[in-house]
Amino acid sequence: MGIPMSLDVPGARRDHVWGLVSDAFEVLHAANRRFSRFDASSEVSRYGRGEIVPWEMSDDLREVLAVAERASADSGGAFSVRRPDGSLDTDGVVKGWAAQRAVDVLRAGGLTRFCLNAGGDVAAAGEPEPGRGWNVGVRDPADAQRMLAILEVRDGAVATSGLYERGHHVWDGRTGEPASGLVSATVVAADLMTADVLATTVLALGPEGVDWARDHGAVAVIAVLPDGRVTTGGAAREGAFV
Amino acid sequence: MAARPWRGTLLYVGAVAAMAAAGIAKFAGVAPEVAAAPAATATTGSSGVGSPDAGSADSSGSSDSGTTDGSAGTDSGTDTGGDASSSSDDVTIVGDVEQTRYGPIQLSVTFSGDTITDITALQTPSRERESERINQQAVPVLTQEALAAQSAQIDTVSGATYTSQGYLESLQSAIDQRG
Repeated sequence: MGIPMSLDVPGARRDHVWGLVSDAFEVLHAANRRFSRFDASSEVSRYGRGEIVPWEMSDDLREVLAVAERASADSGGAFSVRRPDGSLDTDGVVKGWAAQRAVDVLRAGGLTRFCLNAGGDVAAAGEPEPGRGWNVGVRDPADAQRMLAILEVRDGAVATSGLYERGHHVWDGRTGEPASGLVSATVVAADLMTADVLATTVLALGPEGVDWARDHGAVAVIAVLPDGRVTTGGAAREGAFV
Repeated sequence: MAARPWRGTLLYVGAVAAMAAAGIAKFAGVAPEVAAAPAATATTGSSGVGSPDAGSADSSGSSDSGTTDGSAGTDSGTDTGGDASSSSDDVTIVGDVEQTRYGPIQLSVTFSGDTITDITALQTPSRERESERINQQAVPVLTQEALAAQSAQIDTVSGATYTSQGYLESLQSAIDQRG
């Protein structure tokens, strides 16, 4: 499975930033290799089969599992990296975690203005041009040509988790049932890892997750109910849209 | 890479699985599709919330997409290649056929000046049921993102996404052919 990524660096000359960009993308490649469920020899696959003892775990795997553990505890068990059949699926953590690491690489390299989109999860830094933030469209789950909202983001992140692309890949860890209370959840937060984990958790929790997320680091939440109605929380509630 | 003069911000595009990193030049040219300026209100912390694009601004959350199903991105195998006949500045270029694990994908890309105004999938993989489902979703999403990425109003799109590298490669080949 390929996750499309794009990185927009305004005003940059390709030869000046290409090394840094390559380093950032390499972080994502490395995460993909380590955490691929589709590769039986990846570390996460071997861990899932019980072939790795705790002291052999990489720091990366340890960190991802710790993030998952925290999200599970914070959500009363709704967020879980154990699928209903008992197998391990860290996808709910890894994409945001890896993209955030890529962002860290870019920042450490001195970039202050960029916008990274990793499979629909967006991290923005600075301004694309003086006086305005990055305009991040939030896709309407029912129609790819339409936007539910446009969020103006300076230093922050927007992540969306939805059922419309990969079907019912999110489940409610409390019941083991596929999540069905919402068709999509978009979360704005200070960093991409937080936004991504919260978006998945809101989807798992259903409508009650909208207010929950605000108490757990979300700046704004936009969620779509199965009947197409939109429900919002946080800053989005006071916003001019919907 | 290209000897072309530099005209805007660079948008690097790649995919985790195979990052042969197509670099897509994001031009400063203004795309007219999205009319309403996002009125940035309610700025809290790092973000603000603006208005949605024109046409849906007044609906109170109803997301019935209804009628306006733009033709971009759906597979209409019709207008292959050649020049689009509308304005004299428009040119349509057919990208290479790229093979993906699900089958071939081929795009035609319409430019108006430096701006991409339409992307049509001439061929999409449909070898298996699974890939049909993916492509019904993924191609319109990617088309939206490609169009939005060079719009003056939307810099990028957040959404659940799935794609193949083939889409990017066919898109890139059309951009390269235009030179």
